[in-house]
Amino acid sequence: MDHQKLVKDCLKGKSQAQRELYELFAQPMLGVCYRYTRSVRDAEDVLQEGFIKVFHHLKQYKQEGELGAWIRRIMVNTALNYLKRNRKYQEEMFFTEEYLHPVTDDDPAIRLQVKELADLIRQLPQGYQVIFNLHAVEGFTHVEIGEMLGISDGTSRSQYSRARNLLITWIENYSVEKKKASYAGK
Amino acid sequence: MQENEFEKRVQQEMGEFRLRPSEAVWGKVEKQLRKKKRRRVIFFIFMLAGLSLLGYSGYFFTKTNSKQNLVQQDNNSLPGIEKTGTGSNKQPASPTIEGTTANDQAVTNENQLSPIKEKKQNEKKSNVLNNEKSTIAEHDIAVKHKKRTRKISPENPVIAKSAGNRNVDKTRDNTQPAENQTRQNDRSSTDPVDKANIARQDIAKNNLPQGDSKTTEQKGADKIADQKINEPAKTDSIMASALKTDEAIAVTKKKQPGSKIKLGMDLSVGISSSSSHNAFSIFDVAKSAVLDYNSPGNSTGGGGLGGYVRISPSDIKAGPAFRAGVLAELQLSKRSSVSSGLQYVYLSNNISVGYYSDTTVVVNNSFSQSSRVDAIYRGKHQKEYTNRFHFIQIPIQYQWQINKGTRLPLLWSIGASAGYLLATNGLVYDTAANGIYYHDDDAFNKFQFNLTTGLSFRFGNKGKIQWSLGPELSFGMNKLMKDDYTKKQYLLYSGLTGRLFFQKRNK
Repeated sequence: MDHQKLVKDCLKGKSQAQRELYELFAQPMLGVCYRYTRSVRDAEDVLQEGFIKVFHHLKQYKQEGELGAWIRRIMVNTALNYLKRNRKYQEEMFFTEEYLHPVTDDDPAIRLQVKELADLIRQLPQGYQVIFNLHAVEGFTHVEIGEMLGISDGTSRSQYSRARNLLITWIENYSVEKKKASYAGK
Repeated sequence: MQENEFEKRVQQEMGEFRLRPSEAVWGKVEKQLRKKKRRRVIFFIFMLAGLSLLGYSGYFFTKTNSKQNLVQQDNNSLPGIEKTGTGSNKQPASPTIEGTTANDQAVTNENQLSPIKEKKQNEKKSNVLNNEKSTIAEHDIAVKHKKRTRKISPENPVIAKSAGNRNVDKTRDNTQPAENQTRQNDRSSTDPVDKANIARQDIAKNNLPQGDSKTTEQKGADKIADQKINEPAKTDSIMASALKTDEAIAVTKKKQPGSKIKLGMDLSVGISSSSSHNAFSIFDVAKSAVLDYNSPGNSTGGGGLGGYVRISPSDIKAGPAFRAGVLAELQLSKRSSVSSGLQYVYLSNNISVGYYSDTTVVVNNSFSQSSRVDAIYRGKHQKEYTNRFHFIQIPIQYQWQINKGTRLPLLWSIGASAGYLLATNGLVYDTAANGIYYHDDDAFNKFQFNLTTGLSFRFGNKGKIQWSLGPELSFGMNKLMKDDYTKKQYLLYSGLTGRLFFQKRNK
């Protein structure tokens, strides 16, 4: 699809083009927002706020990278801002300096559905959840994460390793429980 | 660093993760987009209305002045004055004091008018001179006529006697000529009116039939004498008409109203700050949302003490502010008016910041994008920083006189203004790097809408220059900054406003 033409039409203020852009990216972006929040309602709030900013600052998009990646960055930052100003999430958004957990070489087989994996990620403590999403899913380095969240890169690493180990444990337990359930069903 | 397969798998799985949003989400997004469009349209309509009012008031002001000048010119060239002038041509005014005064008044009135009227003045002067010449000529004619009648008419015993005395009594040549001379002298010494009267008396004594028996020259002399007798009456009528003309001028002058449009200057000095709650929190020191991440040992996932404390945003203190501009006021009724203009506004507030650092930091800018800034203020608050804002704005205000008296009118004003942020050095707070301040022009809303209200006393209502003085308050209706994830800011201003109006009045 020709995103350049779509962007131009959106900048002209054509409502049909704006709707088309929204329809193109709304579902994957809601998936992004869902991973940072605790509820679908909060995720939709973040999505709404994010798309308003996308249309408002669309003229800043310089056609250098993919439009989807540009929108995704806006969604992630909107989600972080939402967490920062929302008291419900502020209480859990803390980062502590702990001993560095070694990254294991375990490669657990992820036999979960995508949504199940996303739900497990959302069950992580808020701080772990954010850092895990930023590093494992979005691909930010620990240095970048440290700058975005105002923490040191060492804190980011330790928080991430803790989150990772916790998630792996849950995945394995979830997989075992799922097998048991399927055997029981048979 | 070798990427772990786990991360790769997670990335891949999450990349394919989609959720369908509810229809209400797009509805809210669309509503916001239309709202922003409407705000821009309202702002431009506001600007157009203000500029139109300025332009119309300027046009109306100049047009009213030119009309007043034309009316004054017309009044000075009314028929009454012209008739006086022409009347002096047709019916020469006697060189009396009254007549001279009337003409002089007309001349002085004309002298007060524009130079174009000098021609009329000159015409009138020449008319006056002509009048005097004609009166002298008539006097000569009357004298000559008298002489002729004495010589010619034998039926006039007075004349005949005098003539006869001359002819018969030659012996009395010494006396008769003397008598005649004295008579002539007497007659010549008297003015033409008296001579005419004397001639009539003589005619009456000699029982001479009048009318047909008179010669044409006698009749002409009588006519002139009659004219001379009637001249004072005619002069009085001319005077009366001149007086009426003056009265008419005075009346028309009174009827012409003063200009409804006044142009003036506006100056206001005060203090400004920003409110975090709404537009009606005056002089509130804006409290910042404390974003420290203290961890009191929360059990969920975290552990232990040793929480992490971030530097919170500074409190905002009031700073000096002022406003200057030009405006036009349109009088709607005796007690109400509306005004608009163009103003420059300077606002400021003070915050506390840490030390300056040329460090590159990644922040979430107003576009919710990560951006790098190269100069920041970081660390514990240790020095004052003044945020300065320069606006240009168009106000529209409605004024209403609270009291009924005209000695010292007290006016209450209410209005709104639309402003554009020309420049600012304002700092933006971000939680990055333990809490920093940095400068970003794009973080501020360029368009600002304010509500204003105030009271003022107006002075000099009967003169050309009017001025007013009184307190004024202004409240921002929209946020100062685009992104408000730390706190909302609305601009506030309070100060003393003085206005100077210039009004051209009719003399």
